[in-house]
Amino acid sequence: MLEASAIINIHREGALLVPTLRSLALAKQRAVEAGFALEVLVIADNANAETLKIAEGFGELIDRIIPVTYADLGASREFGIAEAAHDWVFLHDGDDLFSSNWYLQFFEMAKRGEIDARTVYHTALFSRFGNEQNIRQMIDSWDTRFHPLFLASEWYYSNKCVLNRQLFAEIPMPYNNKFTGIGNEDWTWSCHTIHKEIRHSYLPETICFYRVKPALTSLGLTPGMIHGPSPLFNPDSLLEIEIRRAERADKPLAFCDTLTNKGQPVQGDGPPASWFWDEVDIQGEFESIITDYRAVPYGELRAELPNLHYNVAAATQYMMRDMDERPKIFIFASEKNLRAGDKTIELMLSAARDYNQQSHQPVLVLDEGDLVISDFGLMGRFGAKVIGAAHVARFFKIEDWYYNRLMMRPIVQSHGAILIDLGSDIFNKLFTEFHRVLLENFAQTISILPDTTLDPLSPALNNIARNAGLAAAHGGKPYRIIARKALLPTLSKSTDWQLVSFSEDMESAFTAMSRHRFRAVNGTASFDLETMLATPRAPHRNRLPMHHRVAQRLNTRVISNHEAALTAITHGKIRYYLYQTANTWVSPDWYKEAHEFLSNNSHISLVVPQISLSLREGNRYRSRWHNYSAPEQVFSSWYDQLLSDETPPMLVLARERISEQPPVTPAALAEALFTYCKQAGKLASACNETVAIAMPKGGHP
Amino acid sequence: MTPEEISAYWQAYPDLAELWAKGVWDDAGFADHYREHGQKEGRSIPQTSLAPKNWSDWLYFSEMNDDTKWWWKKGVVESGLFHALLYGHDTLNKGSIQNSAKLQEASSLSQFALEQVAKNAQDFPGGGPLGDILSNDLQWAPPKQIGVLQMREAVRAAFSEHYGYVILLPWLESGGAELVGSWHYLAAKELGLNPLIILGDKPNVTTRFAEQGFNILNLPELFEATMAKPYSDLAREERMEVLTSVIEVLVPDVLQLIHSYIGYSALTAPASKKRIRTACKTIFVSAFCPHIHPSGNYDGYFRDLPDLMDVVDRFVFDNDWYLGEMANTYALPASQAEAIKYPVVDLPSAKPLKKKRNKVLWASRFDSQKNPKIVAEIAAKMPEVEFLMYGREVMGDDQIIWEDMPENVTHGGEFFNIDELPIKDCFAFPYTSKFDGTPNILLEIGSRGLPIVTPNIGGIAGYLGDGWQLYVEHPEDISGYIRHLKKLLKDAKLGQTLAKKQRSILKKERSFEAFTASIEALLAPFKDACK
Repeated sequence: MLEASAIINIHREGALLVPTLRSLALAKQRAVEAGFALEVLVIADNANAETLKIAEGFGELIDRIIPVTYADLGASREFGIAEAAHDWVFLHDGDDLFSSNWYLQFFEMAKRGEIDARTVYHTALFSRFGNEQNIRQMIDSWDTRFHPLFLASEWYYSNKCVLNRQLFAEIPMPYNNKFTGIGNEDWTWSCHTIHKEIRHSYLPETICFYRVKPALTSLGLTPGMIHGPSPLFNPDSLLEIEIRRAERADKPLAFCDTLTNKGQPVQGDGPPASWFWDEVDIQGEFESIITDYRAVPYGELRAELPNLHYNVAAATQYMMRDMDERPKIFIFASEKNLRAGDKTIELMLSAARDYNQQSHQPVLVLDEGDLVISDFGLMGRFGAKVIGAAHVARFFKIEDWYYNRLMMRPIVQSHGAILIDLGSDIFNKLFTEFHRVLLENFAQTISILPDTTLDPLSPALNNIARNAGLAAAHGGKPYRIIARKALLPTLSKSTDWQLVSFSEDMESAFTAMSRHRFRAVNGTASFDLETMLATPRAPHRNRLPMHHRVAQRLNTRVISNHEAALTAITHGKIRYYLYQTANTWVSPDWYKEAHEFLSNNSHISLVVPQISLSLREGNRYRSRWHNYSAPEQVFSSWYDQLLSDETPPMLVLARERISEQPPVTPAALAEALFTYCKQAGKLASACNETVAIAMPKGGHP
Repeated sequence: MTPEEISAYWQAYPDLAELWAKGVWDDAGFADHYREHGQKEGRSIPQTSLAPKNWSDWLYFSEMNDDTKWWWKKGVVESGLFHALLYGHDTLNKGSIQNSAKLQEASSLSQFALEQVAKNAQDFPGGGPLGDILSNDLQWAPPKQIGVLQMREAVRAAFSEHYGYVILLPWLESGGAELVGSWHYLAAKELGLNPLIILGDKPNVTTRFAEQGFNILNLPELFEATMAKPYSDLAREERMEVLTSVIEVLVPDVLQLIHSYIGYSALTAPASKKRIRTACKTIFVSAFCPHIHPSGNYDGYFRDLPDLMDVVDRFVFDNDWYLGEMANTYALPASQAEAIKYPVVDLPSAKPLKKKRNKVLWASRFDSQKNPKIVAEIAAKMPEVEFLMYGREVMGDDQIIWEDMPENVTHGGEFFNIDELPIKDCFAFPYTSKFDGTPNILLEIGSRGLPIVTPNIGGIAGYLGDGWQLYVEHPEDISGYIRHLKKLLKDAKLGQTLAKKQRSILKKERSFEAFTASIEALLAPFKDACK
């Protein structure tokens, strides 16, 4: 008799574990009643007491509960697989439900000899419920419509499956690493296995009901993760895949997979069959949310095939071909952000070619703009592989929602490479989504600011500043910025980055390329990348907190220094009180102007800037012109902004202390000001047209 | 040629500008060129008054023709438009921000305000609002006014007492939730806990509740009075914030949530639930039954139970059946759940019913849940009996076309009080609901001595007992209804016996005193919190 084990990985599912266990108990009961045996193991990885207690209440279903402390799903799953008594293992998470035939279907097919040890079996349908509601039909990896390179941008095969554990011995399941951003272990594993010609198929008429939690209550979403490097995408694999596909006897006639329209072929989508609805009723008893499928108007619910985008396969081939075995130096550039970009890029490529006098393959990822790329020229002169960012988007018709992930593929495949960004839009775009990956998996990740003079609005500087802000928030390695010496004093106002100055040869090479190129028609310029990469960080002074950046000639004394600070400001022997939050910027001239205003207007209690620029999500700003005839309205508005997606700049110079104890948080400051202004005779006014600005943490987005 | 003329001359011709940029000629060289070659080639010296005053304008206008971009890309000019906007004093005379009509147009900021923004950009290159202003027009907004501080102040002023027992309801209309809330209110009052009802969703209060003199914090009304705008103008998250802040001001010993959508939203969102938990010593949440839609899907607030379990002290049910369902569905521990028997409003002394009666009474909502259409099928097969139907449509999910009803079915209209119904003319009360908790109408009908024919659904057995003689098999059991109704029509004595039994159950189990005792028992573990 064929036997199998089911591994259920649990963590802190709490009450949500109950529907899962009830669902699996029914599936087990059906298999057992048909004469099959199933061992059920629960691997409780740092499970809380509530979750454990619930699991313990399912003694009839569960054979063993094993507590572990890996704090990693992949590791605890691997442990469970090793602990299983049988080779065939079903893998489960603690909040999904399965159709009641999930185990039985497998056993019956096995009994008929229809189960293959080198195939991973998934459910025929993958039905999302909860915050999303849709049904995906599983596609067999041997289906001629499926191209393995689809996996570059989209996930097809989950680890909610049944398989022979020998496959794990052959190809271990990788782990998730939230810090480095390399994860989606089932995605990576399906790449590895398909590369090894292991098939991913499904058991007919089976369903996994996959819970999607509402964003409001979900704490577990980890954006910015990407599946790891896989030999599936290596250049030699690309050719093997095509040869294998060409040799197949069952090539589809309906379309041509070398010259297809994007998105073709979409066929096979249809309304779910009656066996789906039967299970909705059965599983709905365990989890009522599943019955919401019933609320979808007739005909609107479709069991859809996953995307079959041959453009993704073609784009992956374009990006990965000619990538050889040499270690990589990636150079990211945007033509429109670079002064003398054409020459600067050549300069960088020649430095990369000569780096360390050892073999490296420069890879240029270029927002080409108006430049026309000579692949052959760049390959011939610099041995460089070129990826045109706009070419990928336009020529291969890559949509925004999977563009970044696809563009990351050649980079992820080159784990350990050197990444050099020239303030490019493409690097910023990728960095915004995948900064952890780009910071933690490569030998060096640096940005070069190519600007000759300090331009606060330079697109390159803005891109680099945003990257640095993300890097600082990530808290891993410091983000290195290489810039001209002359720019360092101003740039050092930010604490987000680690500044390095251009080496002398680099300075003169960049100057020759940009400033003097028309003055010296003949000539070459070069610099040593090794020196640049090894250059130690330049000393920089820490930026002072903004609320201490009071103009000179004013005598200041900090009374309370918290997120909301209180400072006494004395001028002409008159002392006033400054309340200011840490992220608020105002022109240093304001302090003196406000002080003089209070001195000259004895009936006014508070002076506030007139215009505020609040920071919103996505580093967008919103402007308000304030009328202080009812100041409490302005201060309550600050409070309300703090509760929403806005950070207001908060700054007040007061004639007296507004509360007994200094407020220490922005919310407390807003409330204290609101309360203060409710008193009779507490008037506020603004210095005309003065502006207060809420700054992102560290001064940069 | 004057220096101005020379400058205007080379700026006018790109090839000359390139020579200037290359540093090939100085002013004298350009003057020579004009004299020796330019004039012959038909070139002219532009009128200097029309020539741009400085580089920023030159760059601005030539940007539109794409010239600057080209020069900048080639590395000829020092910097682009961005730089020119800011540095009037730098190595090139590029003008300054004051001259940037484009920037002012995009931001609507005055020149003085723009200079401050530019200063900020110089202080924090790459950060601050200037980049945003250039790439996206600056958004101007009125003051953000949710009114949280004002609402806190208004609540402090109007509800300055300490309220020990706060009941959070959506509104006070005519549903079962409101009735349950009012019972808790009365029991809390009886126990000296100074109760307060918060209406969290809508301001509606029916006369029935208005007359009872409850302490009511009508959140929508108070908000409108305080902020002079409708509560419904607030987004859901904003209403959650107002409610959470109000609870933080009230700091009740006990908070009981009963079917308020905003209450559920606030108590399930991670940030606000933590604050509510901190503000309240004890939290109860009421649950009655799921809601099954005509399409077959069933939902209800019970779905939030997994997200509530970590902050709620007791889930309070009106029946054991649903408690059991929740224990089964979510492993709700017995220690965290309590089923309470809610009282009947009154139990007047039994009035004699008319001896010869051939009418049955149906009274409930004309909604799919209550399944009123089945009455047509029953009535069609019992022409000797008149069916009187009372109630109103609330959900609008199962409209009745009265013209299509059998002749022996009469639509009696809406009712507001049990005693408005012609009970004494009837011999039975068929209850046709598809799902329910413990329906109050059955308690009230029972108190008036009319025997109830019903399916044993939801919490009904908790009232009538498992052995009730007039259960039909299921809500669609037409023959069961007919069989029981015929039995009662024929055997008046049976009706009397069962009516008496109903009243005896109510007397024993559904008195206000018994209910208050059960609330006292419910509160006993939290005694220290309720002082």
